Amino acid sequence: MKRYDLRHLKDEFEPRMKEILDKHPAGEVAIFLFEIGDFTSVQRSADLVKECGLELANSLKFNEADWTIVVKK
Amino acid sequence: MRAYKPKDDVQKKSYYTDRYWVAPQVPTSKVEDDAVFAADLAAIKEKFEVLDAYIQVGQMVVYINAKDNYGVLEVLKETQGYTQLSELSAIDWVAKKGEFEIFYQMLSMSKRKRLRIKCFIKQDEAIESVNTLFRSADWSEREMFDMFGVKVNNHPYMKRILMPDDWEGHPLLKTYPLQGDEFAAWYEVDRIYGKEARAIVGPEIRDSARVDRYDTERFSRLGYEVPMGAEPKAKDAEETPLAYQEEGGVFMIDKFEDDKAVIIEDRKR
Amino acid sequence: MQQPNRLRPFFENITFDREDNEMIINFGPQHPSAHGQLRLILHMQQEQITKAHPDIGYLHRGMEKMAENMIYNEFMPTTDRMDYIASSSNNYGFALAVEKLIDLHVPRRAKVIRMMLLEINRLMSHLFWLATTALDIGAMTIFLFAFREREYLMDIIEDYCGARLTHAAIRIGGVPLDIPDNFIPDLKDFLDKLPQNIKDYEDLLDTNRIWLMRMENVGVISEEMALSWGCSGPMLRASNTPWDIRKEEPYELYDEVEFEVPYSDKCDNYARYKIYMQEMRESAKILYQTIDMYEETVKNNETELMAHAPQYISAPKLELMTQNYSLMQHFVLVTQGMRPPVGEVYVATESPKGELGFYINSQGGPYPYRLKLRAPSFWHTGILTDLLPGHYIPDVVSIIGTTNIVFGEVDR
Repeated sequence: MKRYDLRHLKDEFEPRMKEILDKHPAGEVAIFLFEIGDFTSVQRSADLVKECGLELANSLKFNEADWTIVVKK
Repeated sequence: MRAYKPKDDVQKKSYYTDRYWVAPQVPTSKVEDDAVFAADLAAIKEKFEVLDAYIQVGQMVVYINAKDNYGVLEVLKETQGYTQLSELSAIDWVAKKGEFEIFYQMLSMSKRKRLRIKCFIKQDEAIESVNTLFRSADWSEREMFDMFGVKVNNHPYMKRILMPDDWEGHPLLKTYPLQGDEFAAWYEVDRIYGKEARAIVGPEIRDSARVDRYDTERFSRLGYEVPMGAEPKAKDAEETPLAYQEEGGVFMIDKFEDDKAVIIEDRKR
Repeated sequence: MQQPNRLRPFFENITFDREDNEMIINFGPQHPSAHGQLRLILHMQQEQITKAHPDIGYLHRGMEKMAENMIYNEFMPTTDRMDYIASSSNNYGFALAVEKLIDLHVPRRAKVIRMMLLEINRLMSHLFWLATTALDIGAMTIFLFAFREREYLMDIIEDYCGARLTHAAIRIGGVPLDIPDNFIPDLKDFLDKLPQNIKDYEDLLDTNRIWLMRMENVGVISEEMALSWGCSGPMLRASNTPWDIRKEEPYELYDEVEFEVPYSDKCDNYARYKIYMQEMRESAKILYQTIDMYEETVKNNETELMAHAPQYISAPKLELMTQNYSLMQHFVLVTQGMRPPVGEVYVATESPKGELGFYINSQGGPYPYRLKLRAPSFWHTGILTDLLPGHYIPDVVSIIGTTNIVFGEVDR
């Protein structure tokens, strides 16, 4: 289980998230935290996980400004 | 009417316990299952009365009478090869039974076994010292006396070990509050300045992060610094900003230049 | 003539006109080589000590009292402050005691990570011991070398658990975090350089005349005295008893790892010094093997870090973030704390100083009814009463050095 904080990337978190997901070891759980912005990032992150072929275990609103997703291979 | 608080056990208790919850027991097994322990128990049983004995989590626990603790430890040390007394301390059952439970944790290196001798003494009873058998009991018994008030007979230097010698009260008792009683709160003031200085010095400030903005002897406000002990600045006084050394401000505080900084990737060993 | 008053009492300990001119000095609580707050009252005839009385309690924080008012997980950071030089070994001792009490099976990867942490802590503690003892006797270069080595180890630990001194890196039931990616490369290249460094220290110290004069047959602890005073660890192994809990009562994975237990029958400071140096090499050997074990767990994909016991340990992060029931249970475990069964346990582990024991007597509540901390340095300080008479003042410094006492765990 590894936690990744991408809040400092604000809206351009996708390339970094893709990079992490590609080298993600099997059976591991990854938890991402990123800024909500205008709520499009939620759908974008879900699509990215689907495109990488991983299982999106959960997608929750962390607080007013952040969103968190739980990804499992 | 004020709520009644039990005074015999003032340690923290869980704020909720399920009404029908029964706490499970750690499994214990009979002593006969283990040959080595059985032999040790037989050796003890020859000379002394054994109230109860079982094996718990791989170690034998033997309950004996308090008066023959010296004899049992001597038997174990001389004949059974328990060459080290790892630990010796007490447990406070005064609230429930008015007794202390004393345990001796023994270790046998040849047999790679550990066992615990336990005995109960009344609250004001004394127990025999075993420091002639094991010198490590010397300090353990002093700590037990210091923490519980369990008196030990013919001990070479029976004085408190951790608390100051003139301390009243035994901290590890269940009746002793965690934050300390009135004697503990005023101990230093009494010893240094005397009882009558309590009002002058005032109680101990336990909150280490406490800041009093009008106390210019211990605190100072950034931007509104005044000499120590002087009157703090008025509310609308203008602020003296923290100027860098380059702008003629405070000596030695200069700007951090990013380009001069070097990030060391791997320290050259 | 001093005006004695309450703030400046006048000690009548330096009187030259008395017939036996015995001098009482305080090897006071504030002393550069006292390894903490040790007030050693020495009755001396000229330079020779006739009676020594260590007075401890200056760093007493009442840990056993705090334990009775804290739930089990809450007490873990307090165990850091016991032996603050190697805090993960205290965490581990406490965690193992509670796990034995509730009979928990820890997953393999967590065990391997724990072994790594323990051995890294042993190395850190031994390097710290070498630095301070050498500095007390005057070898300044050794002090700087050993601290430089220790710095790299602290960086490795900081990468893992974020703290350099008080790690709190081990939970009851396993390990909270997986090791970061740069952990194993850094550890490997540290271990490759370690034997050469140890050889340098030994070349500097082994045949150094001052070192030999200060260390050889000074502080001789006979085997009977060591056993009677409850010594353990290098103090005991220097007195002809090869007792190492990792080898005799193997816990964790110490039975799957090959290492030797150095011991000697010289019983003096020099023997203890050689044992510490040899133990550093053994720890390095163990660490190499744990790195291979870790790679093996990665290969066959055993990824759990915490034990699976719903009523004692909260569920892993994935279940917590997805299942509602495990979140409810997590809430109860965090607020009220887990309730172990009624019973008691004494578990001893081999900390860098000696046998570190935890005696837990639980009566079914979330707070332990009694928690006794068996700290090895407590009796290593006690032995000074019988050991010091007959020695000289410089010997006191080197004896205190090799007993490797740390006052966080003496006074608890």
